[in-house]
Amino acid sequence: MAEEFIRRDVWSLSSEDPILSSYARAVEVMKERSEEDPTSWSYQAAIHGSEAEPALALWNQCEHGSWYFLAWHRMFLYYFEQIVRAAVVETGGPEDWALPYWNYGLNGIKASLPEAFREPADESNPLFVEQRAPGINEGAMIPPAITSDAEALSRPEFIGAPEFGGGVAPPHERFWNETGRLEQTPHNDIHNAVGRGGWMANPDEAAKDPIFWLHHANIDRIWATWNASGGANPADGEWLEQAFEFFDAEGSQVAKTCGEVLDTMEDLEYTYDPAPGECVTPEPGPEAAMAPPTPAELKVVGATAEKVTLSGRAAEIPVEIDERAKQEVSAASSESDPRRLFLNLEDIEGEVNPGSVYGIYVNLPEDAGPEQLEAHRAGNVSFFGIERARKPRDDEHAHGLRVSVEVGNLLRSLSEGDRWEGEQIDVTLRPLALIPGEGQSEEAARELESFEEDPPIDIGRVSLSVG
Amino acid sequence: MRALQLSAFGEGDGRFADTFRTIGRRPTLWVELGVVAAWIGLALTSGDPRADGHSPGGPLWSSDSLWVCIPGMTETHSHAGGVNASGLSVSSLAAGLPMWALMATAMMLTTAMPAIRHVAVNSLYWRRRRSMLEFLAVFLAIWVIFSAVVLGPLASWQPASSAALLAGVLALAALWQLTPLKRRALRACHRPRALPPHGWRATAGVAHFGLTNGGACLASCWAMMLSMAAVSSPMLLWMALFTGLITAEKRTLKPGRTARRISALLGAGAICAAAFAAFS
Repeated sequence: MAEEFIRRDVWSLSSEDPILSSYARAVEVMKERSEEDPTSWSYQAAIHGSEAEPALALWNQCEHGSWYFLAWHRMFLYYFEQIVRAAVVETGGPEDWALPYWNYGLNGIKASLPEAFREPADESNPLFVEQRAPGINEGAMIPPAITSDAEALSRPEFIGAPEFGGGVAPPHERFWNETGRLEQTPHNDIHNAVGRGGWMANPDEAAKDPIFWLHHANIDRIWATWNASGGANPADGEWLEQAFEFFDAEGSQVAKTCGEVLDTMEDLEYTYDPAPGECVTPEPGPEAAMAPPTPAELKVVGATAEKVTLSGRAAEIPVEIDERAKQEVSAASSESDPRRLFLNLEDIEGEVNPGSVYGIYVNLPEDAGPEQLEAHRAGNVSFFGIERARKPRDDEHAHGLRVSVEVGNLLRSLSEGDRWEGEQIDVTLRPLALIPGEGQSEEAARELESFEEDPPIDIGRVSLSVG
Repeated sequence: MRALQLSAFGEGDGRFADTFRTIGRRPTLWVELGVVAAWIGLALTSGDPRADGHSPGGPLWSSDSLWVCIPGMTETHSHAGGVNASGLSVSSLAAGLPMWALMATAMMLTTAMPAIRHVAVNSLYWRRRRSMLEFLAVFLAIWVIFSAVVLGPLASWQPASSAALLAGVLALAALWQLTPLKRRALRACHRPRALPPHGWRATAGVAHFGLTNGGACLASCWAMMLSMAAVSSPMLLWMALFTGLITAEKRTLKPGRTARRISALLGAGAICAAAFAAFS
């Protein structure tokens, strides 16, 4: 039997654990390599994205807003891990080294950046990066609304923007607008929470931060968990046979198809500790009840007439339901009705990703407390990659982003509590702040809640659809 | 933008029924049928032996040239050169409008189906058909006006050598394919817009999208369409060829690369036409 590599939870390791100290040494070795060496740190990061010109072979390849997102990043990590392992062995580290993962979904202290990545906070630590969100390097914790994988894991289907793995999109369109629920939360939201104003929030720089790889190992683990709990990957040949290219530890160009990376153990000889099938079932999220698959054809039943501009403050957006569709919407929100309701944020544009993560709330009362906030939350929206969607590379099309969340269960529960009467729905977008870590000053805590310098983001339309 | 829907056909006896149900549910089905009808209409009229420009049934085209009939000309033009006897008038242009509209429907709507689908699925359900009609009216008007005002007069012009004219417009089209303006216009063809749901805002929003999408389509394809004014029979084949080329560059995953390849093709055509003009 081939050797088995085990990816472990970074919070289960001490800062001196050989897995982390070897990783730090390997990062240092890779940073010393020529920038034109495909196994160097900067080259590997540029495969995800880089603003540098001219682009070298296989730069700017990352797949986002697409059903290829998960498979492409699994391959990316697989070959990166081989390159790092070779560097680890070269520097006398363990031969069975495997990339750790950061399971921020365990919340509390585990939702703060692991210590090895922030201390010592200077150049002597290859895992430290200064260009991170305010407070992150001081131990601020990411709130559960951002770290939770519950909504993603509750999706019954892989294919579809409101589903687990993302909607059908052309290959090599690096920021399409078919973002799946796992890609949105926690993936995009964690990028912003860790990198607001820094590297992780920018796809052209994100992979330069050593925590990027542990974040993606966690996303990969959540995919394996969803599979282990019965979630089925696409059976479509267009997806299964789509190949992507990378560099291996020898610097040779190699390729794999999506169909060749479905089983981490059988196909790629690694697993997670604990094994994905043994994971504790997460607490239900906002739309956690297992729903039927997304219908192919949705009908728009209400929408805003004007664009909304977000600039760091809460925004209230009334979405009028069309008179002729009110009965249909009310009926579709009842438990016995198989139809489903989706809230869509369409044609989202902006020059720069502000790095904020907004909670999407429906009919939120004024001065809502934490429990009410969670009871009214439909999901999150953040804008990772918005720069690339607006000004794509090479031969790609420019377009706005789009986020869809299912709101049928939420509207039903609001209706049962007399907080929605089948009329217009009031959508509120509120920025989600980090939680101050132990010992952080009050001033630092206030800074975590300050979003007023955010560059503007336009949302072309907010709509409600049924199908 | 690519229309991406996975097939969800079941196995067994219900497969074909499911297929038909899926097709029947397409919100753009009636537009697609209209496009097919327009192509059939073009095929029938181009094959009409009466189509010599004298038909009382309205403007048709001859087997020799589409253009002499479309603007309502009363004389067919000769490739030997000369000036059209009747010249152009407002009434002759107006008489040609139905045929321009038929040609624009067949050719340009084929290439614009993703934009039409965007209008359909993003309008309020009960307003879908109306929104599509509003979009089509603006989009087609742009092309009909361009055809009547630019292509008509160009087609009526009788140079000493029609092969030289063809070489010139093909060369112009080949060069346009390589310009940054063309690239920008082609990108704009793919850009969907959020549409307001109700009332005059909805009409204005759809009309604005028709204008921006149709304008981008015109800016992207005008040079290729200019070539249509210089080609001779069989017209239907030329129309199908140019529709295929424009659809390819609009729908392909690498539009810039496709535009460059089409430029090479048009350039080769220009050289062939120039050689023919020189040796004939």
